[in-house]
Amino acid sequence: MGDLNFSWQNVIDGNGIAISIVGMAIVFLSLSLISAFIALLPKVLQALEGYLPPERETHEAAPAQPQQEDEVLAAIGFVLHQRRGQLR
Amino acid sequence: MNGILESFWSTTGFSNMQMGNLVMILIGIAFIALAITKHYEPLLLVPIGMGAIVGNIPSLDGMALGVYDDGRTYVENTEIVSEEGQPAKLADDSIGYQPGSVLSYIYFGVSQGIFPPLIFLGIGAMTDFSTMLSNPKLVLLGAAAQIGIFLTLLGALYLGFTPSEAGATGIIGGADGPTAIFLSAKLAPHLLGAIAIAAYSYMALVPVIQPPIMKLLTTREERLIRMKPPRQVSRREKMIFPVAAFLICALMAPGALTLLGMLFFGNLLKESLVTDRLAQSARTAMIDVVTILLGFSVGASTQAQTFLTSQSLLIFGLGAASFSVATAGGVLFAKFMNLFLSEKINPLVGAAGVSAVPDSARVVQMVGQEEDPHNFLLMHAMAPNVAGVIGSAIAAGVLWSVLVTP
Repeated sequence: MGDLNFSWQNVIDGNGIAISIVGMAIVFLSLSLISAFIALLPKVLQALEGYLPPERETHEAAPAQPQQEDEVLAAIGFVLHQRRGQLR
Repeated sequence: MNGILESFWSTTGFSNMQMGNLVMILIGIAFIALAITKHYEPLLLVPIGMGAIVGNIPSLDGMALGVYDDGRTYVENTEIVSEEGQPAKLADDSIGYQPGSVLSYIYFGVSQGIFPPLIFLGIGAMTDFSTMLSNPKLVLLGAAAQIGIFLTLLGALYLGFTPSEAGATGIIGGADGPTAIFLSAKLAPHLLGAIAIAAYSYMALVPVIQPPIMKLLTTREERLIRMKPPRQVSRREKMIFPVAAFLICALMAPGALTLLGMLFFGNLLKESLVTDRLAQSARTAMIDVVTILLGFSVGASTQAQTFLTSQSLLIFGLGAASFSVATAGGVLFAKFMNLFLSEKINPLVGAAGVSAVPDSARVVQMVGQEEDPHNFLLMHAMAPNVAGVIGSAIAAGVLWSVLVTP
C-alpha cells in the first residue's frame, strides 16, 4: 500500500467483486456439501448396519494409571496368596 | 569515568526509547490488565501483552535481540576469486554468518505459518462436532457469517490496500486468530503483526461487539424461540465425519488443506477412540506450548517502528467493521432460513457463525437468557460456531489460491 487512495476504481482493478462472489460461493458450496453429507450419513449407516462391525464405546486404556493399578492389584494378590499360605 | 558512563547510558533503553515504543509498552500493559481484571481472552492477551512490552524495549544496532533480527550471511570484503573459465566466486574466508535473535527463531513459527496448523490440531482434538452432526442445517450459518471476510476485502481494496493486503486484512472477519496469522504470513507478511493483534483483540471483545448487533437485528419474539434438543449422534458418524469433511473441503479449496487437515486430524485422534494419548497431548500440552510461543512472538513483533502506521489504524478499523458485518450476516441469514423452515431457528444462533470458539456461542447463550433464563442455546450455537471455523479456513484457502503472487 502506498499513499492512501480511496477509490472504487481500486476495487474494480483488484477484481474485488469477482473474488468476493466466487469466495462466498465456494464457502457456501463446501459447507452445503458437508451439510448434505451429514444429513445423509445416518441413513447410509442405517442401510449398511448389517455389514458394519458393532459399535464400541470403550476408550483405549491410558497407560500410566492402569499400570499403577495393575501393580497395586498384583501386590494385593501376592499378599493374599502369602496370607492364605500362612493360614493353611 | 564520565566517558564510560556516557557510553553506557547511550546503550540503555532509556536513552533510545521513542514515544512509539512507550505507547506500545502501555498497550501491552493494558492488554495484561484487561486479561486479568476483565478476563478478556487471558490465554492470548497475557502472552501478547508481555510480548509487546519485550518487543518495544529499544535495542542497539548490531545486537540481535528483536523478532526481525534474522540470521544473515555477510561478506567481510569484496575480494572476488576468479578462475579461468569458471564463474567468479567469493573467497571462502570472507563469508560469515551472524545468528539471529532468539525471538526471531520463535517468530519463525509465525512468519512461516507453522504455529497456526498446530493450534488447529489442538482445536480439532478438543472439538465435539456432535451438535453440528445432529442439526446439519445450522452449518449454513457458519458459511453466512463469512460475508464479513469478503466485504472487508472490498473495503480494504477501496481504501487503497493491494489485493494481497486486502485479502489478509479481510480474514480478520473470520474471527479466527490462527487462520488470520496463517493467511497474512502468506499474503502480506509486513502486516502480520497488525492483523494478528486486531484479530485477537476483537476476538477478546466478542462479548462487547456482538450483543448490540444481535439485539438490533432481532425482535423479542425471535430471541425467545426455543429449539429442539439435539439428537444423539452415533460413534460411527463422529468417526467418519472428520475424514469425509476433510475430503470435501480440501478438494473444494486446496489452499485450506494445511489448516483443515490438522483440524480434522486432531478430531480423528479424539473420535477414533484408539489414540486417546495423542488426542490428550494435542489438546493440552501441545496447544498450550504453541499458544505461548505464538502469542508472545506476535506481541514482540509489534515494534512501534513497524506497527504504529496509518495502515495499522485502518486495519483496526476494518477489523471492527468485519466482526460487525460477520455477526449481522449470521443473524440475518438465520432469519432468512426461518422463512422456509417449519421448525424455526433462534436467529441469535446465527451470530455464532463467526468462528470465535467458544466465545461467540457463549454470547448467544447470554443474550438468549436475558430474554428467557430457561432457554439453553449454547449447544445449538456450537454448531454454527465450529462450522464457522471450517468456513473461515476455506475462505482463507480460497483467498490464498486467488491472491498469492507466483
